[in-house]
Amino acid sequence: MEDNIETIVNCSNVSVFYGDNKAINNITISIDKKSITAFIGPSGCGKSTFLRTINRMNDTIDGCRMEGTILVDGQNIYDPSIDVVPLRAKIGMVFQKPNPFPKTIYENVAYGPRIHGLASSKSELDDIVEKALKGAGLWNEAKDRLNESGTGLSGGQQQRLCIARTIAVEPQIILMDEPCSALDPIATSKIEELMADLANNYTIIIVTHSMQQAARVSEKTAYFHLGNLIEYGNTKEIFVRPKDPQTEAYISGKIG
Amino acid sequence: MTQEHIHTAFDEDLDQLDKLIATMGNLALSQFIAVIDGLADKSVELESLIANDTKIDELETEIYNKTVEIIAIRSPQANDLRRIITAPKIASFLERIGDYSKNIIKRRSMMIVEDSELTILKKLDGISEIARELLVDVLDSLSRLDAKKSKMVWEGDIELDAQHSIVYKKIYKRMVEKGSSAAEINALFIAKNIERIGDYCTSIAEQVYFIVNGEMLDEKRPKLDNIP
Amino acid sequence: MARTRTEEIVISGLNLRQKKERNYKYLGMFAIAISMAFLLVLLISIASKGIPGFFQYYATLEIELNKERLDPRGDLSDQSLFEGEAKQIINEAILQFTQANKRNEKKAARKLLSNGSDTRLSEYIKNNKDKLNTKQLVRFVLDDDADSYFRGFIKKDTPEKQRRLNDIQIEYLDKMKNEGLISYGVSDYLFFGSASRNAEMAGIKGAAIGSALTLFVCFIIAFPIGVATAVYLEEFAPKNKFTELIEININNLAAVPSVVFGILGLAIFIKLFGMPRSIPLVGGLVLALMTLPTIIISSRAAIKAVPPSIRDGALGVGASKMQTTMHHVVPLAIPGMLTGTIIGMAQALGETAPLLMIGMVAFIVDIPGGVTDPGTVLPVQIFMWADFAERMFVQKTSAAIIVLLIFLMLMNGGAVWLRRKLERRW
Repeated sequence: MEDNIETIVNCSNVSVFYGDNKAINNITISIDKKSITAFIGPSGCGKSTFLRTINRMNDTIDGCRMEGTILVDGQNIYDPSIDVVPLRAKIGMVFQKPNPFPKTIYENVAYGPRIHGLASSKSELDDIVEKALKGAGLWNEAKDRLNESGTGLSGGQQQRLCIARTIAVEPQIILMDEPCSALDPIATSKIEELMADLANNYTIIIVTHSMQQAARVSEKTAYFHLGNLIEYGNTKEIFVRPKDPQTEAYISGKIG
Repeated sequence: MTQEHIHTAFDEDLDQLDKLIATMGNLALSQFIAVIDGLADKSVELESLIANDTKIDELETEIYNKTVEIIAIRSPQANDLRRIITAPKIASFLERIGDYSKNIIKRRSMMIVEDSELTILKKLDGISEIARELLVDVLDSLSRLDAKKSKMVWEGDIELDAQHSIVYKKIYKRMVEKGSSAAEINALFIAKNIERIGDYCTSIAEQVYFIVNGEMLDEKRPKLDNIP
Repeated sequence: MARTRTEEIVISGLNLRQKKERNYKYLGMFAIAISMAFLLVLLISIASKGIPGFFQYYATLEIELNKERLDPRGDLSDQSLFEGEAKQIINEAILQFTQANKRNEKKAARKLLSNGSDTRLSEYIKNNKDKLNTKQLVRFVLDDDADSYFRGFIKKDTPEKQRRLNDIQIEYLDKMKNEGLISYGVSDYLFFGSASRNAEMAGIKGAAIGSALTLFVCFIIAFPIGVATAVYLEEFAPKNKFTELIEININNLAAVPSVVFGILGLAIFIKLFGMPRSIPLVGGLVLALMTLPTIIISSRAAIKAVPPSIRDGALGVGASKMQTTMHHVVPLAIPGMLTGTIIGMAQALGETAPLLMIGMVAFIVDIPGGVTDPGTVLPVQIFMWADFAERMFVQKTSAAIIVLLIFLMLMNGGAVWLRRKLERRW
C-alpha cells in the first residue's frame, strides 16, 4: 500500500516577522496531500504562526510580514493578484477555542456557502448543511435542533460544528490550531477519530502541544523550536527513532 | 478487551500484535507436534523443520518492534498496557520453545547418524504427551486470555516434572546396570529439553495470568526437582 | 496542634483586620444612607411642590347657552364663535352670581375666572351642540390668582395693598366656595395647554412636542453617523497618527460644555447657513453634534467588546472584512450601541444651554407641526417658567420637572433593561 506522495503545500524559505522580531526562520517543508501532518514543539516555537501563514490569517495582524514562497496546489498564495477571500474558503481553519457564531446551528453551517454563492436554492443549501454536519459527525445530534443556537452545544459538539462550518465550503485543506486543547479527553478522542475520517477527503495540518496526540493522529510530524524546523518525517520514525538530538530531547520530555 | 477503542487504528494495532503472536505460537506448536510425533520413528524426516526456526526468530523481532511502536504512538494504559508489555516476553518464551524443538531434532539426527536405536525414545512418549497438552492449553489460554486455564497450566507443570523425574531415573538405572551408551545419553538430553519446554509453557501461563489479573502468580511455583 | 509562626502572626492580626473591615462596611453604609437622605429630600421637595401642579381649581357656573349670541353665523365655525359673545355671556353669569353693582366690584368679578374661559365655552358648545339654547352648568378654570388664594398662597390677613387679590375679590371667592361652586381637579391645561402668560392656562404640550421633534432630529442624524464612524474607526481605519488624533479629539469633545455647541450652532447653522432660529431642526442638529461623541465612544466600546474569535471564525470561512464586520461584529455590538445612544438621548432631552443659545426660547403659543416650525423644548420651558412670579408657575414648573424626570428615568431604565435583555445572547 503505497502512500500517495503527492504534495499539496510547498513552503520554501518562509520567514515571518512581527515588526523587527523574526518569529519564523527560513522554513522549507512540503505537506502531503490527503494526509494528516502534525506540527509540534514547545510554547512559543512559532508553530501556530507558521500555520496561519498558510491561509494568510496573519494578514489581519498589524506589523506582520512574511518572506519566502508558499505554493498551494502549485499556486503562489502570496501573489498580489490572489484574493484572500476565496483562498480562505479553499484552506479552512479550526481554532483552539470553539467559536461558533452566536446564530442557529443551521446558520452557522450555511453562512459560508451562502456568502460564496455555493447554493442556488434553499433546498440545495439544506443539502450542503446536512452533508457538512454528517461529515463532522454531528448530524444525528443536531438534525432535530437545527434552529437552536450553536452556542448551546457542549464544547466537543461546538468544535464539531466549527468543523462542519469549515467543510461546508468544500476546502482542500483544513488547518487545525490546537483544536482539542479546550476539550475533555472523550471529546478529544472523538475529534481525533473524526480527523482520521476527514483525511480521506481533505489534507489536514494540525498544530498540537500534545505529543501523544500528534503520535496518535498524524502520518507525518514536524518538530519546531524557536522558529526553526528541526525535524520532519514519518510520525513512527520521529517517535521511535528521532534523528535530531533536539527532537529526541523534546519528545522524551527533557526540554520544556 | 471486548470494548472497542474510539481510535479504531488502536484496535487495528492490537489485532496485528495478536496475530503475530498467534502465528508464532502456531509455528512453535506445529513444529513441536511434528517432532514428538516422529520422535521414535526413524523413517520420519524432521530436519527440514529446522528452517522454521528462522521464521520464528523473525517473528520475535517483528513483535518486539511492533511493541515499541505501539507504546510510542498509543501510550497504552491498564489492560492494553499489560497486553503489550507482555508480548515481547511471550515471544521470547516461544522462541526458546522453538529453539528446544530444534535441539531435539538435532539430537535425534545425531542418534540416527550414530546408528542408535530410536526405540529408547519411546520411553519419552509420556512426557511428550504432557508437554504437548501444556503447550496447546497455554496457547489456547493466551488467545482467549483465560486466566483460569493459564493457572491450570501453571500447576500442571508439576506433573511434567514428576514424570520427567521418573523417566530420568529409569534411564539412569539402566545406564548404571547395563553400561551407558550414546543413545541413552541423548535420550536424557532430549527428555530434559521436553521438560524445559514445559517450563516455558508455565512462564507463558504466568504472563497470561498477569494480563488478566494484573499480578503475577505466586512466586513459589510448585516444582519437583529431585534429580540427584 | 502546635501553631507555626506564620499562623501565630496571622491570627494575632486577625482582630485588627476584621475591625477594619467592619469599619469600612459601616462607612460605606453611612455614605449610602446620607446620599439616600439627600435624594429623599430632593424628591420630597419636588413632589410636594410639583404634585399640586397637576391639579387646578375650577368654578362651575350656570350659563345660558344662547345660540344666536354665541354662534352668530350658525355653523359653529371658529370664525363664528370668535365673532360671538362668549366672553360677555360668561361675564354676565358671574356678575349675576356675585351681585356686583359698582364699577370696581364688576371689575373685580370679571377677573375671577381665567382669561381663556371664552375659548373653553366655545369648546364646550362645539362638543355639546345639542345643548344650545339651554341653561347648562359649565366648568371654568379659575384665574391663577384666585387659584392661589384657595391654595393658601394669598392670605386674607396680608394687607390689601400687598396682595394680588383685593378684599372684594376675596369676598366673592368665599361666596363661590360656600355655595359649592369650587372644585379641585386634575389640570387639563398642564398637559394639553401650551405656553401662556396666564399661569392657569400654561401647559407643556407645545414644549413636549418640541422636545420630541428635536430629539427625533437628533437621533436620525447622530445615530447613523455615530455608529458608522465607530465602525470605521474600529474596524477599517489604519492605525496611524491621524486616526489617533481623531480619537483624542472625539474623546475631548465628549467633555466640552454643552453651551459651546450652542455657540457653534449659532455661528454655523444660523449665521452661516441662514437657518431660522428656534426650530427643532436646528435644535436637533446642535444636540446631534453634542451627542455624537457619546455615541461614538460607547459604540466603539461595544465593538471592541466583540471577541476576536468571532472575527477569526468569519474570516476563516472566507468572509471579506466588510462581511465579517456587517454580518457578525455589528449585530453583536448593537445592544451596547443602543444603550449608549439611549443614554446620550436622555442627556440631550435634558439640555437647556445650547438650545437657549440658538434661540429656542421665544414665546411660542402654537404647537410646532414639523421640524421647521418654531418650537421650544421642555427644559427650556421649565427655565422660562421659573422666571415668572406667579405662584402657580412655581407649581407648574415643579410639575413639569417631575414630568421631565419621569421621562429621563424611563429612558435610562429602558437602556438598562435593553442591555440586560440583549446581553445574554452570547
